[in-house]
Amino acid sequence: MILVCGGVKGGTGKTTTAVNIGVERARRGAKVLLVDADPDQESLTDYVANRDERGAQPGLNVVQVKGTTTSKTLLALAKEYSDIIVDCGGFDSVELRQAVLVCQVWIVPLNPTQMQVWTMPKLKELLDGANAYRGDAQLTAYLLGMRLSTNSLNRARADLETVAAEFEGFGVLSTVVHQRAAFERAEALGLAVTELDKPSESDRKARDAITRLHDELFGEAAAESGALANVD
Amino acid sequence: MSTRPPISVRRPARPTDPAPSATMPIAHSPIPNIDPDAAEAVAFSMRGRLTAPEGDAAGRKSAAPEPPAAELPHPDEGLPYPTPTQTTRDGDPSQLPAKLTGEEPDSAVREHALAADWISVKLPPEVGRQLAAIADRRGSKRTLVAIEALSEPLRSLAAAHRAGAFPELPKVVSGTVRSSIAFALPPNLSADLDYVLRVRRAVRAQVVTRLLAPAIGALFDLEVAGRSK
Repeated sequence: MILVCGGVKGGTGKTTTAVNIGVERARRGAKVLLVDADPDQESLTDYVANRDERGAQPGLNVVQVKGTTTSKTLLALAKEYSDIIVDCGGFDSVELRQAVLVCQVWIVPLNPTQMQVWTMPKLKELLDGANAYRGDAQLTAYLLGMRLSTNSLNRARADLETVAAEFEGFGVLSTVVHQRAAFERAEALGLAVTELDKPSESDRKARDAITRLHDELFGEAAAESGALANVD
Repeated sequence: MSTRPPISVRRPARPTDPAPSATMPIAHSPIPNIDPDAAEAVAFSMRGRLTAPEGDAAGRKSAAPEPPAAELPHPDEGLPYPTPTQTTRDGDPSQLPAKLTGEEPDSAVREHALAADWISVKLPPEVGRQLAAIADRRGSKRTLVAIEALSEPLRSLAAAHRAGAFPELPKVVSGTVRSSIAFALPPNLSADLDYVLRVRRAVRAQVVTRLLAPAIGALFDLEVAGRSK
């Protein structure tokens, strides 16, 4: 599956989502490739380099793509890997447009603050533009409640529903991910939150959120991998 | 009239947080059967911002970790492994994918894309809005309107230079916020532009922007502002 984490605003949690989902897929035995489609920042590449330096297992593969070759490269790589997770930069880039032309799932991490919600018309334009070429393979963009305040679950979730209802073609993932220190700590260690030792109660909630997100995104594919028993 | 129910000595139950239920997986779209090299698909992509060309980020991350060799397709399979040193420089038609999946490019569109002269300029926001309004009113695309708008002034400028003149270019004032557009210039216009750049010793983006902005303004006055009155 080709999964894109992308939006047109920075700092929304795209790379955090990509690495945590990527690690979880790899832990369950899938043949995963992370694709860094943000040549300006290369955060995903940095993360994997840090993970490699620290010797964390499973190791992750990452490649960088750039420009108008992105979609063709993704299609070719999809023949080699069971799951391709693409991390795009936080702006309307050539790479993001190329990725949504050929992907199967598009996740838009979003904390429904006013500034972030104001990016929706641009996202809608992108989605409609891509779907104009996709024929029968119409794409739905899924909003992921990300970095939400731990005190604002109900309202943020409702706000996401309101936003999605306003823009045709968008859905909302039922999983939400709250702002938790576990993500920063795991990131610094080259880990996913699902890999943290001696997890606190808050860490466990972060881990559960990523597990739920994984299951929501991959569902049957995860069950088919037969590796669920290896997950703590 | 209904009677009062018997008194209850038990307090009503409080609503509790819903138990976490099994998450239903979302539907995945199939991989679309599209040609990423089709001119319209490329035009759609090129509306996005171009990242910094290689060399701008001097010295940054020259060597990303590569996957194990066993994970990589065999080189003979025709799939170039996209490492940082193999990424494609945007806007350079010679760097467009020539052979990635082993399929020979066979369409005239692809030939055109490879031969095209890619233009990427930043326009003042007002001009960007006017361009979008024209395209919207026509039911066309910004790129097509831009090429049309650029054609006449570029040909005129090239003709003037060929006649020995050296016309002033219109002044275009742009702030920090700009509207970007990228498109492939048809070969005949590309030749004119190359000639103008050579004679004037000018910068491509300067000439294109300064011809395009007033042309779009004029077209906007003619097609949108004039008709909406």
